[in-house]
Amino acid sequence: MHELERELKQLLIDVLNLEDVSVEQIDSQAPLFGEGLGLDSIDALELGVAVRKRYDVKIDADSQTTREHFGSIANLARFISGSRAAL
Amino acid sequence: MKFGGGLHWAHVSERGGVWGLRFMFASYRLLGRGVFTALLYPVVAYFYLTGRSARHASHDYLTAVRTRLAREGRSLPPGVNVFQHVVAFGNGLLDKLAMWAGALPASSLEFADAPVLQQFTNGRGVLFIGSHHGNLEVLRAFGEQIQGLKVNTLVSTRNSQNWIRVLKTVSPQMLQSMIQIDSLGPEAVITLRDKLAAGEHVAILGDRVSVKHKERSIRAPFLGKPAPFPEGPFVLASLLECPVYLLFCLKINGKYRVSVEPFADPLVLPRRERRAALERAIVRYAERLEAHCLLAPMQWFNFFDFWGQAGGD
Repeated sequence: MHELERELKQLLIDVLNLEDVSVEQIDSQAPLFGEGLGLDSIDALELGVAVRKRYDVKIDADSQTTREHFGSIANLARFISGSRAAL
Repeated sequence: MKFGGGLHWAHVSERGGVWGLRFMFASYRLLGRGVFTALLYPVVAYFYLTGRSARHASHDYLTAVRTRLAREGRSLPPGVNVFQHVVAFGNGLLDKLAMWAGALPASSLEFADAPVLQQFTNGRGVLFIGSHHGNLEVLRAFGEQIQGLKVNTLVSTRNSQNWIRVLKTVSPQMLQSMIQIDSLGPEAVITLRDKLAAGEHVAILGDRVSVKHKERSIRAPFLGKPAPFPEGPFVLASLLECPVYLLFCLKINGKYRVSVEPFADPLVLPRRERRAALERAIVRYAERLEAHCLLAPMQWFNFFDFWGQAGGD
């Protein structure tokens, strides 16, 4: 899980060009959007596309659970490993 | 294209149910355009008399066009009035019917500037941003005429249920070129990117604010007053990372004339100044839309309070 979180942080930095942020600086539990890193809904979509491509998980466009999955790096890692286990 | 008045355009249910639409398709095929055109005036008169808010919307729009033209020392062409505006809408609807029913008589529709679209038949896919000015349905007809031109139209699932149900029986092949989209999510973006990679094109309308996401709109000057425009199409453009063109299709002297204007390649919304970049793109779109409204005032098919649609004003 820890490895996956690290991988996701790197993905986040790469996809969103967060040049001045390092993997170490991102708190797994911190909210990704709004406060925290200050990402917006376009960032969310870009991240969603990247996650969908890399991990082949199904992401509902408009559900509350999706919003929770993308709430933090920890949530996202849990969601991805959960989806993998379900396969 | 939708006719009706009301608060927000999408609150207006499509007038006439599924059976009405089916009946229209069937009679069009059976009776042909001539009979339909004869019926057009009484039908238009009926809508004109009963559609109070649509009438008001048309009046407000034409007044805005007149004021805008006056600034340049020009005036509205003769014969431009609310009733003729509704007639133009009816005629546009007939053309749309003809195209959807696959009963497109070569004599009643001619395509000038078809070569313009020829350039899109090979190579990578592009995003066309259109509007409810003119008739974009003709793109489908083009698609059938020009080999190798495949355009996927994005439509809102919520607002065209009737059309979609009718199309399922009347013209399933048309349905294939429509992508129903309710919210822009990762799945949709990936589907569209795949289509672009395969050389297919995507078309979206840029002049209607989503009902579900009214807050995702930006006001831009339009015919003298700020009007709300949806962010979605422009956000989509940036996510698709493809060439973006504005697409207009006007009926001039019975001929459909397509014009395609390069808009961005690609549209970049840098995160540091995203809001400003988005606003600039929307302002540019609104400017071009306005220019086309001044060119052909009566081909505007937004019969609702265009300037007030996003808020409660």
